[in-house]
Amino acid sequence: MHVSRQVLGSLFATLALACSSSDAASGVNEVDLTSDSGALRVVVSSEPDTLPVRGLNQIYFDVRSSDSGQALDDLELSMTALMPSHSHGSPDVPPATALGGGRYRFDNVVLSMPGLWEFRTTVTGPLEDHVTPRFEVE
Amino acid sequence: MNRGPLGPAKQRASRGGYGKPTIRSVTHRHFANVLVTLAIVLCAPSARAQACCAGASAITPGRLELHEKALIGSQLRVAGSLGTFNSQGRFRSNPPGASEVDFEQDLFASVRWLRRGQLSLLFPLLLSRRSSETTGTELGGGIGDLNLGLRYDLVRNRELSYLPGIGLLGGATFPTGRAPEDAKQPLASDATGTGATQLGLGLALERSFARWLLSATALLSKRFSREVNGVESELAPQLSAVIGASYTVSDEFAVALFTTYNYEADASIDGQRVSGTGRRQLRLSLACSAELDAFRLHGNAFLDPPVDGAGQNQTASVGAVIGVVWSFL
Repeated sequence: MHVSRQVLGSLFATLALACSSSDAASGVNEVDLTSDSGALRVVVSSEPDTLPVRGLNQIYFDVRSSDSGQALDDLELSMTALMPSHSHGSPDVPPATALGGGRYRFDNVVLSMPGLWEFRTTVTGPLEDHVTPRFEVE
Repeated sequence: MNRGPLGPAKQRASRGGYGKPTIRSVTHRHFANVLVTLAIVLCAPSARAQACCAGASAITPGRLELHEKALIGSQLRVAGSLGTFNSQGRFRSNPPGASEVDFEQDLFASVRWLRRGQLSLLFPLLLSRRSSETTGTELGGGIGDLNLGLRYDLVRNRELSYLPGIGLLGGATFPTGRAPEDAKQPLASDATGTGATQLGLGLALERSFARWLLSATALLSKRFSREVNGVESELAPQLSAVIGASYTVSDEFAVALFTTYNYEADASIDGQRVSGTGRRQLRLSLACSAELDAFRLHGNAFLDPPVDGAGQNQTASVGAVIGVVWSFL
């Protein structure tokens, strides 16, 4: 027991915090991609930042024909946000709202943690297709 | 009850199993203390910074000493996020407005079965405070994933002169916590579990040299697939390795330094491997343990080095653990 005090005093060791720095360069961010069938060219952007962030986001899809470049307006888009490296997703994302000019918006896309996220998106309507943009969320 | 430097049960254990009740016995006793600490270090779900990051935990905390038949204990863990390793292993500090602090209270118990086996149960309670620029600050928590662990000592340390101590490990984690996609809070601070069942097998080696004890543990964990938002998601098997060295300073006090490395290959979605989703984590821990009558105190400080290449798809944290174990019977 004679060393109890020193033992208790030693239990709280000082934590060594290493210095860290942020690298602004992005990892594997993809904002311009082609659908699985190759029929669609999709440009993905977001608000409030140009790339999705931790927390609440609005995600925009600009959808065009790969062949003609024509904006496609009559599609229905639904999305599942997944984080494969941690085997979980985010709460359900409502279907996209068509804004015209080939532009679609997903509201209330919540990304709960930093890391690599996939937006597994299904396209239905006049044509059926899939597209999966990936983003590094910081 | 003060049982003195060597309680009667320990003296019996010393005479029966390890010869002279001298410095060697004392050393063994405190090595056991250190191993309790190691077990807890190992079992503390790694990267609880996010509940989904729970690492393989084939051992549950509170390893029994030779003379013990049962124990109960509790530990408090506090961790703060330093940033994140991305899919290419580059470290990013938290962006402005983003932070995370996690608290975990574990309750655990161990009982002996046969002469060389131990069965342990871990019950975690979690509390997280997270913030981001878009959602503000939130607080959430609840019951985490229940962990069951087995250990069987084939060969005890110094039992055979030509072999190290060899222990077989087994463990299971059950998804009793709330999966991240079921969370109600935007940043999932109320997510407390992985959502998947996990089974693990491992091997632990240990060997003492005077006051030093060297140990190495390897654990392989299988995480079962689960349905996430309509797709079948499965993490790759995880390999965890722990290498440690400990030193018995005095009758009641020992210190230890451990390195933990977790590795897993790419995850799969609907049976298809998804590139860039493997995970790596390096953790450095400085631990100590002390014996106070029937109680053992333990503590450790840990750091995930926030340097490029030290992790992948993983949060880097710094934190500390303090706990107490009460052995009885």
